[in-house]
Amino acid sequence: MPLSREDAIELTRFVEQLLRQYDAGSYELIMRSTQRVDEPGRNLLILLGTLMRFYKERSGGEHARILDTINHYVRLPDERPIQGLSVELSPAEQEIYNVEEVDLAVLPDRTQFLDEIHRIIEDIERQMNPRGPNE
Amino acid sequence: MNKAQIRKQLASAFKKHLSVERETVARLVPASVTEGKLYEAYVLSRIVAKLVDDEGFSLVLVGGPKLKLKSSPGPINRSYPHIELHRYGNCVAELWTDVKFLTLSYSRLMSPSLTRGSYHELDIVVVDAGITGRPPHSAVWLGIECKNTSYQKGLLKEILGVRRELSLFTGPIKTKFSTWPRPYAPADPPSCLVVFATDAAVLEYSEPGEVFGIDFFHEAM
Repeated sequence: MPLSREDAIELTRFVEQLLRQYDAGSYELIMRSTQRVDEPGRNLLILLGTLMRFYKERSGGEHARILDTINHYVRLPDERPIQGLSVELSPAEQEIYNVEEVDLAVLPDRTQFLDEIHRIIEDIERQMNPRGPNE
Repeated sequence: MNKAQIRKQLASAFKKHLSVERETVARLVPASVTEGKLYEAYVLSRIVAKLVDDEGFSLVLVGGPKLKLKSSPGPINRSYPHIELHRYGNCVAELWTDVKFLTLSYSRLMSPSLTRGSYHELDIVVVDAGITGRPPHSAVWLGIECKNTSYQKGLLKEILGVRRELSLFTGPIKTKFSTWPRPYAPADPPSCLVVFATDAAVLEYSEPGEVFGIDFFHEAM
């Protein structure tokens, strides 16, 4: 049975609840970046799409792929590959967090999580746009 | 798949992959600090590919074995790692990240002191080689903005302002590049200005760029 408007609203609330439960620190950032439209089904897909984008950026797996690409084109003067990617914090942030830089490689690998969410998005899209065999 | 099955799959995915020990979370720097940085690195990976494949530069990272982005922008500090662009064995330009350039208006005013309006940030820049501090607008070959957020009108107005402060609007002038991002720009000095965004809506705002010489790319990670 295709997803109804009510189903989509309930699932959107459920995703928000899961985010608050498992990653409260990111909940605000994700919700702030999520646009709202006047269609519950689209809202659910937009929320899951924003969530994908958010965690993709925080995935160590993504970091490895980016570093591989950069190393394909850029070398150190002695021809060795670049050893990592990091973010240097401002002096004020260094004082607060007691670290000089954040190595992007230590981000957790979210590849599997992203794959699962991607499959769920595809399922939802199929539920929202059911096509018969002759269509 | 029905609603109940979707709920079950969502709950399973979150539980399996987002459960992190409390002590691990406590050691992490908040996400807001590194917000947008992996996308910036991703765009950088696309840029270096273009500079090598399309423009024929050789690229060398100098100043350290790791590529460092900055959580807050600033002037060029030559002790930081940066990428040199080599042609025929000579370093002709440099690529830096998170740099504030001195504006066209600052140069016109010939003011002895800097105010907050005297410089603007670019996420990635290619500038003349050997510069220290904030590069003048005239030293910018290429400026890039990376937006991993929903693209809205305010961001278009922001990039139009950056275009204004990089160059005067004019007829087409040859840039420092043969093909990418563009061989000519309606700008004097003829800097290139590029926006990469994860939001496909960026293309709905790209028309003014055709007039003023701003290239918009929708590039999801």
